[in-house]
Amino acid sequence: MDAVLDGGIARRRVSEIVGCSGAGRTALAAAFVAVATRRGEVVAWIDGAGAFDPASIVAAGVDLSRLLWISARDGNPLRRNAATPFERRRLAILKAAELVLDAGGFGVVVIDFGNLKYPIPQSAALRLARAAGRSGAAVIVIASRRMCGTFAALSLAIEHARPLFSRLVPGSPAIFAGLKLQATVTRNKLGGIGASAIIRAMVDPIGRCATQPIATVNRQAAAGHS
Amino acid sequence: MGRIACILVADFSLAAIVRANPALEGKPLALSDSLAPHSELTAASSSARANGIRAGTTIAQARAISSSLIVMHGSRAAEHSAAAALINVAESVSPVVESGEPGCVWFDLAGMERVHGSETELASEIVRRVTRIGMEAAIGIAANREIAHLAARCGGIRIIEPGMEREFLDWLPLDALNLGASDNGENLSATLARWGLKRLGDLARLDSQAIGSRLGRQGVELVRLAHGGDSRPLAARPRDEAFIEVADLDYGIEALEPLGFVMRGMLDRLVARLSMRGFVAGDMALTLKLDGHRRDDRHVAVAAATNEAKSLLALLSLSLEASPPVAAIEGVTIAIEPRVSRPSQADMFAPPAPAPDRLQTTIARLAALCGPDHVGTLRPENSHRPEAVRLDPFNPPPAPAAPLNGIAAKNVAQLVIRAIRPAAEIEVMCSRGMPEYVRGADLGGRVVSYAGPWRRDGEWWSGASGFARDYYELALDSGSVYRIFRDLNSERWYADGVYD
Repeated sequence: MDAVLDGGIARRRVSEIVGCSGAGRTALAAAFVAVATRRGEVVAWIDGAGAFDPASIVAAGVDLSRLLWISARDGNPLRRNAATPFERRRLAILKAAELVLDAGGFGVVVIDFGNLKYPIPQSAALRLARAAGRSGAAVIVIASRRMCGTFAALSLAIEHARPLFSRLVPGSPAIFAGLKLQATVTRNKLGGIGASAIIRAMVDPIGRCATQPIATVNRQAAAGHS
Repeated sequence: MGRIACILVADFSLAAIVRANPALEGKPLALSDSLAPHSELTAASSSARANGIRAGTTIAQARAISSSLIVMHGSRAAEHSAAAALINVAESVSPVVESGEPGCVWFDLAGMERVHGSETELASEIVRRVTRIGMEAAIGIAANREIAHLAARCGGIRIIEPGMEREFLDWLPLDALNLGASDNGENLSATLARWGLKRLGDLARLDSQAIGSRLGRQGVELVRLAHGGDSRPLAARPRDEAFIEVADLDYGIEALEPLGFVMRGMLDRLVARLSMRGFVAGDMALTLKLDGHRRDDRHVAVAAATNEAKSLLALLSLSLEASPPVAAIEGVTIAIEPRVSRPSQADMFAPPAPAPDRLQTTIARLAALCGPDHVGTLRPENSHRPEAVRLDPFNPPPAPAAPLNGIAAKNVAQLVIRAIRPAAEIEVMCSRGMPEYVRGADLGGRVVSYAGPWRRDGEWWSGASGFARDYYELALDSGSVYRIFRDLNSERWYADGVYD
């Protein structure tokens, strides 16, 4: 990804990771966050979908003690009658992002819009981009479609090529190993549009050890995925 | 010779009412024990006095003079809060503070010139601070308590320089002293006026024994005061670490929105008091006096100490929205636990991090925006349930001396799970015990590949039946891989995450 992005994602800019749920976009964002936290930076994760799973985020190498988690899934509870639930959630996500960016000092700010169907208004995207510029943080937006329009410096489209299953020996239980996905730069103000990379996002084998296979159950994996 | 300062708020009971209701400022206002027409007024504001209304006038007479006069009951709660605020002002300047009659506070100025500059600057600063807590005060600075009090009674800022006390006392009119009745029941000020005494200096020239034989103990005290005699030192009170504001409402409030306006004013005043003492607001205790002699006590945790009244109000409103009071609210008490905000300096060679004070403020704002249980450090709980998490306060440790770059060396990304909370119930169609099709609210499709089942069970030792689940990873024809489980107790299927 560093080669495709010519060094990585840019600070003071908004970078979008776009793809459907299950495409591997969260894994990519977590990889950027893991590097930042191991460097000693403080990061924020604005969870607009209520999908943050700390166990797998830790397995991805993120130091949770440096990660400020903000759940905006329920929106602003005091504005329950102000708008539709989607609108309320979107407003809460954007407001939380502004507050975090205005505080300054965060190395990376991840904004997870989840599966919100509509892009944010241009005015909100402009404010977000300006706040990112002021704060010096790298803002990563996770969404199912492009949210920030022209104000995003980078847009990475993630498509999952195929899931990877493996067997230790023929006839043994299948194990889900990870996803093989393709990331394509669909927009980059710094150049390099169209570049793509194949990424393997693998499941943490240590975390898997917590569960035990049941040998008596017959298992079958589809052809081509084992 | 020591230096003592006195803060004096004139018409304190009225000032306390106006502090609690800033809309009354500048309006003709009077207090009475009863609102019946024949009741006498106990105090009148300066604008009411300008219309000729005095304490002792009946309400009917006063209304005949001024129809716009507002007559209210005195509020002990407001006076208590205002007195505590006044003490906070004094404590923000000096460690030795003594409170006198309501609206009067003395404090020791020994050594204060090194911190606050000249006495004039200090007095001006105190006036500003008293204004910040919603009152107007006069300041007197002198060699002892009595002279400082008399100087404050003259109004404004009056500083009696060392050695000038006798001159000030000689000049001071006896009318400025609040003289009551003597031991034998005589009106002291009338008696002294009959004797032709107009100033305190006139009294100093008389023999104290003769005055004592005529006017009793109070006469002797007056002569001693006129001579500028030493008084007792200040009796320092223990520093009050409780910050409480009380408001008694004239009528019961049933809706939460108007209550918000009341609480906002109280929080503004509390925050002003806290910031004067160098504290920030921690956890809050909200007590509501309800209709029918009922009470509603609640503890509101503050995720990050802050002095932003807006954020604190949002937290209180969230608590009230979650469980509204059962009856109309007739009184509100807010107590704030003070916390110390320690300044810290960032490391020049470490990666940039949020400034601690700004971070605390931001977390408090975020807690007000999203709810206090939605901000912090989310960690996996030490549990056998994969969905078990706990929320800790966000306190990032200092950056490591040498950055760890091990993760960057790995050439694979680690796949993470997007949790589905709560787990969504789904329908799984199996063929020969193997999942074939999945159907649910937000997912559905043919299973092209799967792994599992992986058994997880636990908590059977805790007395209840515990949980027992068989987990699967299903790759659907859409390309997504879901983590699902079959609850062995209920024989139902659930999806609790998607690999992303």
